[in-house]
Amino acid sequence: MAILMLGVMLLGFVLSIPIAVSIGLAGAIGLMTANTSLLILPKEMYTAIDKFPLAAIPFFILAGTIMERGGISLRLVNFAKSIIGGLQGGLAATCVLTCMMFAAVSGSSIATTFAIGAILIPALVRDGYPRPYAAALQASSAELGIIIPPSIPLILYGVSTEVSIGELFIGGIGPGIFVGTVMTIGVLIYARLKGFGKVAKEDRLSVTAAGWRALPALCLPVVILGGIYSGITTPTEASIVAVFAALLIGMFIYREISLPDLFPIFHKAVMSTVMIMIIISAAGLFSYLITRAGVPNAIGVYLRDTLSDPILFLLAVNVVLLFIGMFVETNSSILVLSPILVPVAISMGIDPVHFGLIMVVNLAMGMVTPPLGVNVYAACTVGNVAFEKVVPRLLPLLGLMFACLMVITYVPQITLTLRDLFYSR
Amino acid sequence: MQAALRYFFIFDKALNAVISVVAVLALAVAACLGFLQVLSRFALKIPLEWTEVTIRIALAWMVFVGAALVFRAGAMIAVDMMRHLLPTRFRRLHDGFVTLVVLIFLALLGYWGFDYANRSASQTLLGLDFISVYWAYIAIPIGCFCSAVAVIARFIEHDPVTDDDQELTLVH
Amino acid sequence: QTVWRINVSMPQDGHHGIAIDTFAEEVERLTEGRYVIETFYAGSLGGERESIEGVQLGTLELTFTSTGPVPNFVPELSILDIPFLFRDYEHARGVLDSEIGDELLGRFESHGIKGLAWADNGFRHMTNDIRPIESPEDLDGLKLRTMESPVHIAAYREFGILPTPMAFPEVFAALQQGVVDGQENPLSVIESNNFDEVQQYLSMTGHVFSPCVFLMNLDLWNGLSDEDQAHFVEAAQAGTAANRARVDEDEATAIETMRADGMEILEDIDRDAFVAALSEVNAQFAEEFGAEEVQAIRDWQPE
Ligand code: NA
Ligand code: NA
Repeated sequence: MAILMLGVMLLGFVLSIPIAVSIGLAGAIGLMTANTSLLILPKEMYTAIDKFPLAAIPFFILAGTIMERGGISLRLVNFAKSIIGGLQGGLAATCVLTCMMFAAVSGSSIATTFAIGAILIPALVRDGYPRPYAAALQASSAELGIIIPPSIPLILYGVSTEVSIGELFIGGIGPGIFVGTVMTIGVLIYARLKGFGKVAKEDRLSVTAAGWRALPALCLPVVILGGIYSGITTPTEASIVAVFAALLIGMFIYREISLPDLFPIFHKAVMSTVMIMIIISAAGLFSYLITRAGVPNAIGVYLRDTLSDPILFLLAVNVVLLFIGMFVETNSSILVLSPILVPVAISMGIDPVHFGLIMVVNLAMGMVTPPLGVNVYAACTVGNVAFEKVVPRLLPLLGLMFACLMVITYVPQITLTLRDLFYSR
Repeated sequence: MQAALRYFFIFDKALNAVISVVAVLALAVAACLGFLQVLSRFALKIPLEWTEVTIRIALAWMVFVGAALVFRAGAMIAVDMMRHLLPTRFRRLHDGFVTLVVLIFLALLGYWGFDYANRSASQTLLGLDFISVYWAYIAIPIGCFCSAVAVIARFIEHDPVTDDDQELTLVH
Repeated sequence: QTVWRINVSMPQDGHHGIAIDTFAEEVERLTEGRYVIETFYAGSLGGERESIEGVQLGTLELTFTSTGPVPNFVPELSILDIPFLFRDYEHARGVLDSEIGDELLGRFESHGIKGLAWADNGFRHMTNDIRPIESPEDLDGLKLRTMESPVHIAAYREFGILPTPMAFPEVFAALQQGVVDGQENPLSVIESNNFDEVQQYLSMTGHVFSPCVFLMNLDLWNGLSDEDQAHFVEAAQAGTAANRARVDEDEATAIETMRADGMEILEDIDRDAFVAALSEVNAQFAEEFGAEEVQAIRDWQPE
């Protein structure tokens, strides 16, 4: 059933049937051949989006749209340019760095894509980067959203394996900074190689002038972060605060949004949200059926029973997770696989916090790997670009991320140094 | 036939307008309730237990009904590689094929979605236990119906060959 | 050979996991392999509400769940949500295994669900980061993450608690940052979700007994032979026995572990003072659920 579903889905993709419909139809055909009630079709499609933490996606999309129309995005980009715009590829590096900062407030990669992508993809395009590259860059940078705490996958890992969530969060900082730094350097070198992001220096503002104009916009992350860290809002609710703060700045400080603009802004946010949520809905059904058929479970058990050497085990885990991540949603993979794999990892002397970060960094890549990479779809939506044009641009970035993953896997210190410092072992 | 088509497009236009308003309102209401939830808990020290569930329902309605807006604009994300490789004279045929597949899926989801809503009607909402989950789940078949109208209208109206260059400007 | 599925929302290694593992083994043994039960853990097939719905619709054959979302399906069963209804484990288990429990279990049937057996999730206790809770007055003004049960919420309000429902995956971060001051759950849930990492005080209020229940799709149940029906019930009862043994074991170790980790634990509270503080809302519950029925549960004594 799993193979048939996979085949139908890929055939749908090839035939240019909308992705959500391809996945949903694959699920329906899977149900029919397994002689199972088709009630699962609406039930799992509804369940997949009926989760409060997912509400952060529409709200961050709305906030992003408001920021774009309200002149906030432009001022932030001008400010970033005034600082590092002199560097070739500086704006691409800005994208990675902004995602790193935003990851500290957001627990979701898709929300990160929308919040940052709405600002930076148009800016990158304006500066001469190819649109598909801008979207690919945004999709892969947003991976940091679930590596750097707070992170929903890390919480789920902690709960299903009884590993301390506090330690996992601290453990996420090192790999997050590592991946972010490597990517920053990587995109700077890539820009030089490809001749992207050569910016004429005369249209840049001075740092003080750009900083002053961007000041209200710069307060936005402070308000969002402050709301979370002072316990006023949950990370999900922070997206709602972002909406109202952006509205306030756009309407009353920059005065670029007036009341009649609101309907089109909301309308645009609705369109972007629906495009992506309908895929999340269908992917939820697909994930459910694969899990129900016992596929991830069987793979996990196989890994557990066949490998006894820790180095090989970690390599196999990474390869297999990468494969599973291509088709199954991150959170369900963690729920199914971590209870099977973690006891084996511990018995081989691998620290469970380290193993958790390996799993999360790996499965975070899964959100960016085709064919089923929700984050790539999100970047396509926000960047107005075709999926198949983004994929080739994605490959060098995925290569870089895989190299980072290998380093994180075999150099546990990246994950554990901070943890050991904080929990004094 | 001509008259029927004209009425169909009047209906399509009206439906599209209504859905736009419903979906935008759903998002706006969700945002306002979320703000109220934070404000009430933090500033007034009165946590509200009905806001979260209401936000989830509003957003579900936005997604399932709003899907029709995206179908109508031809903006559902797809891998369009094969489509662009096809000779332009086959585009219309391909559009017809995709429309048919989408309609089959919408029929399946809509039929079973209606059944789902009806069979679950005795269940109440967690957090709003005086309301049946019917009112949440019924968004699925309603959304499928609206999407079916949108997909058909799009197919009849849309001329793929002339619109080729604009294909990527998805929304506005 | 028929293959059916059962799931829990908690990890395999725990009092939910052991219940379905034992159940699956026993079904297979008693029916001599004619029925095989596949087990799923940690909510990988969906949360508790979705699973009960699945059992009702027949998209999932069986589930083992706490009774948290049950009142949305069987409203009368919110009688079990009444705070301080049960004195201790002996009382709670005794009532659920008695004719009263059987009658309550039978109420699932008019909703397309067969209840096979009651089990334990455990007594719920309160944790918070503000102050140790010794008397009902200490609860005044505490922002507590609670379940969305109207019965719980009514009772907590009378204590002066500010009940704040919240999606479970968000609770840890919310406790850590202080969005809410505390939460209430059985000890094993508190420990396995690491809430002790972010909460200073635990008071063993035991304010609500939270049962679990084995549920099965009614049509499938009706399709079983009388003999197999007996096997399924027997297997569920074996699951319950394993579940209860695990609850007892976990409670004993959880207290020690969390205390060793630096949590301040108050084991003895003045139960009568808490009960007295709820007199008004208890009168309301008696009216809602039938004074006799509530009293029959309260007055139950072991023979
Ligand atoms: Na994060
Ligand atoms: Na993927």
